[in-house]
Amino acid sequence: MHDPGEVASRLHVWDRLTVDRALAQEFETRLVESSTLAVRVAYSVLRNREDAEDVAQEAFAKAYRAFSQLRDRDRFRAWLVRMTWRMALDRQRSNRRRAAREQPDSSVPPSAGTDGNAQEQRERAEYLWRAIDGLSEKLRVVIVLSSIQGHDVKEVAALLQLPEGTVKSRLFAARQQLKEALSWMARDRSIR
Amino acid sequence: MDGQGPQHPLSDSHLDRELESAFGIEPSPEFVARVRTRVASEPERSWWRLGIVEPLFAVAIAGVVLAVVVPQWMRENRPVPPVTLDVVSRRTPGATERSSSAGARELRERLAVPPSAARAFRESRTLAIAVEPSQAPFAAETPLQLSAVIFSEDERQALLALVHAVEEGRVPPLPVATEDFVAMRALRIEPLVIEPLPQLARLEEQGATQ
Repeated sequence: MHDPGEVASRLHVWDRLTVDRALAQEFETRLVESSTLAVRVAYSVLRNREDAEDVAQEAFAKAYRAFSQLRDRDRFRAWLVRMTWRMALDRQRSNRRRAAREQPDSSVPPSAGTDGNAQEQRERAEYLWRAIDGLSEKLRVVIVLSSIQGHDVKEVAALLQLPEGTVKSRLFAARQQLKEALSWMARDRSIR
Repeated sequence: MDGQGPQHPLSDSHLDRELESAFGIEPSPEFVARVRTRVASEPERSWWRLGIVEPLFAVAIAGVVLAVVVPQWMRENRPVPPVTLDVVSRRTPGATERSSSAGARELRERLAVPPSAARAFRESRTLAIAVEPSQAPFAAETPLQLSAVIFSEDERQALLALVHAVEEGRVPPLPVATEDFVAMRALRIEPLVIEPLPQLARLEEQGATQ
């Protein structure tokens, strides 16, 4: 005969393992579907692939620790975006303090064009990043999230937990500022 | 080129293309594997993920509070075990006209606690003295909260006499022949003798000789 206490204890451990396995599977799903989002969010701040992946990895580790409260997909992604953004800003500050090991040219996505086209594309990217840097943080996060993975206003609002109207107005303002800044930069370039 | 503003503002589609190319990086192929490894090295992950630690912590705090507060509360509210002295007496017509010796004898009989009652008193701390209950037309119960520690045997008997006296309308109680009672211990106070301190006595002797 088995001791009832021992049986209950084994069942408890089994239940825990089962729940653990289910949670692990859920987390795996979230990891696969949100890894690009996290890396891009971090990259939009850091503009360095390695740093961005480091930050995204840490954000996932934190999400894993709090996963029992983040099992809902939308909640998980919103939490991940906010956490990654914050951690990326922290990393950026510490990087700047360490005398800028940032190399913008090395982080530009590889282009398929010729050398001349690659040069032009790098310059355009540089202008764009400068313009994005010129935005306030509120506008920047909105334009970043709407630009990566084709998020619409509703999705960005859900990610930032903001009203859609607020997101729409911020997105409009951000785009206007970017267009203006990029036009000015293009004009300066043509003058040079 | 008049310097008043951009000559060719970017179109929306152009801006979208620029932004897509700027943000369009993909994580490296080993990124997900790195995250898995990182997550696998998390200590005690299942406990945190299952949210077990927080309830355990709350239960521990509640336990500590109970362990501290409840015994103190119980100590404060612990009832003092009462010693109930139930006296069932018989009030017969003409009881007050009895002679003092007859009354004293009856009282002595009443106060004679049988061994069973004494045992019951020790066990239940309740003393019940029943005096001819079948013949007690005016039976009454007078519970008294006494402490066995405080009351000595003499005090108990005196109290019983008082209770009976009150019940029978003899207040103040009639004098009871002392020889009928168990001899009460006399309160003796030894005369206080204060001996002089040796030092002072010696000084006095020296003074006397001088």
